[in-house]
Amino acid sequence: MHYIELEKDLLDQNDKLAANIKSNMDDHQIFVLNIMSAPGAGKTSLLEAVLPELSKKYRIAVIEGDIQGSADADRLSKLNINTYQINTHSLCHLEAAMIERALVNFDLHKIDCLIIENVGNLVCPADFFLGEDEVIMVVSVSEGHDKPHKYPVMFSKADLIVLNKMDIIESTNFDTDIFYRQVRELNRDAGIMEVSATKGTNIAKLISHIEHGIQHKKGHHHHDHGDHHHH
Amino acid sequence: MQGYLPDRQFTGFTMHELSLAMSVREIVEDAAEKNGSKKVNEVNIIVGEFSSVSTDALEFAMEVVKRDSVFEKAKINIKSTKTILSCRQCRGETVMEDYIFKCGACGSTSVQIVSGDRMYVDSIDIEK
Repeated sequence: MHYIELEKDLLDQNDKLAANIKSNMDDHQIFVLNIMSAPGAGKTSLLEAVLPELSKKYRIAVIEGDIQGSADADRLSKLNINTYQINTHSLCHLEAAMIERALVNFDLHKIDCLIIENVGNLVCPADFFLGEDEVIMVVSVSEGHDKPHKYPVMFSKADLIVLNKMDIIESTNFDTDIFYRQVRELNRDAGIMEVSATKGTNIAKLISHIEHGIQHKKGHHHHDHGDHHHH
Repeated sequence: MQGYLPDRQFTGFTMHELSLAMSVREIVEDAAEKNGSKKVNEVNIIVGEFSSVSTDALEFAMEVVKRDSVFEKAKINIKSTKTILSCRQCRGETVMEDYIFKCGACGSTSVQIVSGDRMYVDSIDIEK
């Protein structure tokens, strides 16, 4: 019998890879977004709403994470967006190693912004840092206003929360006051944007938010490589 | 557990823990080798409450990954720990209640997690 103290973090490997990706992206001044949501909250619709405008000014690349199939990537390819599909095959989240492999398919000198659309899931993706500058979480009003309390980890890690499907809020019992209060208990700083991807409401705001991120990254090439990810 | 495949409706969650269990396997095999051991008696894992991991699912996943490993016969202990917040106002450290970011001493919301959001292999017991 021989007792050994290890204290080895299970996510160490992933975090190291993600930090490498981050510094690689920093070197290329690429603004990286990690978009997470439950299935059906409207991640892809949101991208369809913002990308036509954004891609007029910037070179956008998208990595699509799905358990199976290329339906989402096909939707974005129609917009002439440089898209790569990762199929996770029953794995519920994207890991840094998958992003590293996917990046081989892009010319990093020709990208201003990389958007990673994570697997639709509010649980697992929250633990895996992918090297992003910002986490955008999409929630739709049809999911209910008590989502923050059910998925605290994910909500605590979001930099921006996009509340989607505002056009149908009247047909739901979604209480925005409760939602905001629950979000604030978990996350004091995240911005919250109320939008409708299909009707175009406040999409201009989201576009300018992303644009600001892209510009900022161009201007602040060597800003800190610290892990904003861990609170 | 021989040849058992997770129930379909279960897959989403167990797969998450399975990939973490694979990390445990790597860490333990690596540590055993470095210490010149071929048999691990005990693996102690700590899972923070403020992570996305279910200890039940992780326990199940560990049964799957321990096969043909140095810790095939080992006892797996998984301990869940509370989330500890430190306060920027009163500098106190308190246990997080109900997943709310609020100091348990002074009530300030200017707090940050100091522990309880990570999971790690705390220690192992090996045969030399």
